[in-house]
Amino acid sequence: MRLCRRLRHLPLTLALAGAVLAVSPVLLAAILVAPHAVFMDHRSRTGQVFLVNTGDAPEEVTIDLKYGYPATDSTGTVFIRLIEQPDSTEPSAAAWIKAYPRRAVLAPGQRQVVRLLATPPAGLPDGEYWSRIIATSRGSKVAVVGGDSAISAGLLLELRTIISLSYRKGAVHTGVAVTDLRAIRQGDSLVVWFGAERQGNAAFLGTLTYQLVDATGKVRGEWETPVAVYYPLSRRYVFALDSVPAGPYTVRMNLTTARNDLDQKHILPAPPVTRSVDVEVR
Amino acid sequence: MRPRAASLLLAGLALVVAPGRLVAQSVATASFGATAVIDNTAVTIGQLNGLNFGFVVRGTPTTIGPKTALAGKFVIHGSKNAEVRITFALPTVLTVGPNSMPISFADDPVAGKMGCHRNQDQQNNCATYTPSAPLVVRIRNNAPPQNTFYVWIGGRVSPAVAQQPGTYTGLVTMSAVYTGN
Repeated sequence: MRLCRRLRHLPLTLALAGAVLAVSPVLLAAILVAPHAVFMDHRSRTGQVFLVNTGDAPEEVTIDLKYGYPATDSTGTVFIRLIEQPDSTEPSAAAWIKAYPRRAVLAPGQRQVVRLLATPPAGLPDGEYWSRIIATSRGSKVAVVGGDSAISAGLLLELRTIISLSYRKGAVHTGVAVTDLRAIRQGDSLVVWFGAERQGNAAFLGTLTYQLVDATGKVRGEWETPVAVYYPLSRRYVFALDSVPAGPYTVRMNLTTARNDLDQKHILPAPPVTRSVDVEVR
Repeated sequence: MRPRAASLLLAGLALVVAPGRLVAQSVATASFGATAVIDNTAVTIGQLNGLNFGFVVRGTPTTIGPKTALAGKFVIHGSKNAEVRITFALPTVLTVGPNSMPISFADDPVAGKMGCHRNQDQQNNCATYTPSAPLVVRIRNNAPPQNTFYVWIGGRVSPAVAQQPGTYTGLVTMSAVYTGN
């Protein structure tokens, strides 16, 4: 609830971000995008994103929506799978949510509200529909001045910030099934493979906690990470073992829907999931 | 009152530390303290230093290493401990009109890998990597303004012996994607 109250002050508090960034060294080009996850519902069909030019030069910012979701490759690394033309079976909201304005030129320190308006197709089934919001900014030019015979070289910069958008209609529910949990020691690191599948009609957004427990039951290491499960994924996590002594251990995994970085009203509840696996540290 | 007082203090600090940034400062004085909101809902990517080779000599390649003062420097502020995938779309040539000049971000026999990253502003201690490869990292698990991740980029241009004069430029696209993980 405290976070909910705070979010009402988001436009005002965005100004504070400018002050925080002002403490940093001068930024040649910088765009602040907030929030980092947008939630819309079928009742209001609206949403908004704030852009702030926190750099020292004008920035031209464009907003695009594309269908996409987090996925993993064969190495267990996460990436965002962006699909230009999703077929009708994909829960894409990219085609029927529009951003206004789609383009703006922001002076240094200027703030712009981008309003999102959904016009979903008639008869849209209950469920959650996804898109990614891509904010692309282009700004400063290379400032190299030479004589007629001089050769100089520099680079122009384009910054892209990609955040998530979720549109919920009617009854939405989520859950997660853990399909894989393996742990091995590699060098001075603990490598954990984690596989999961979403249950229900909405993405599972939660927090994954690993504890490394020794034979006496003492917790010798603990790591926490946010997790998002849209489609089946297989993640590889690497944690530093530091000064953990050799011996037999158990890795305890706990997966809940708690998220520190999201407004609680957007959290869909789901039963926690716990698993454990043994690992030998030599 | 305490959060408001804290924000005013922070705004005052901004005025002292960055006297040239008047726009941001003026709005900051009107804000209310809620740094947690900013920390948890905003993402900023910014360029602190441009990769600029300046004047180059015909027939002489110029290399800027990622751990040098001339390297391009980028910073991301975001949600504490959030996972971000950072990618660069890099040019292979710089152009001016019909003329072009090769540029490379591949590993260099002398300068090594052309990218470097760390969650703090410590260029000397950053971990090198090849910038054409994606980087999946976590924002530093600290309160603002220490909720950071830094990337440095170097490169190498190779002007030909008969290179035509001009200011050669190319477009670099840096993407920061919140993975939600």
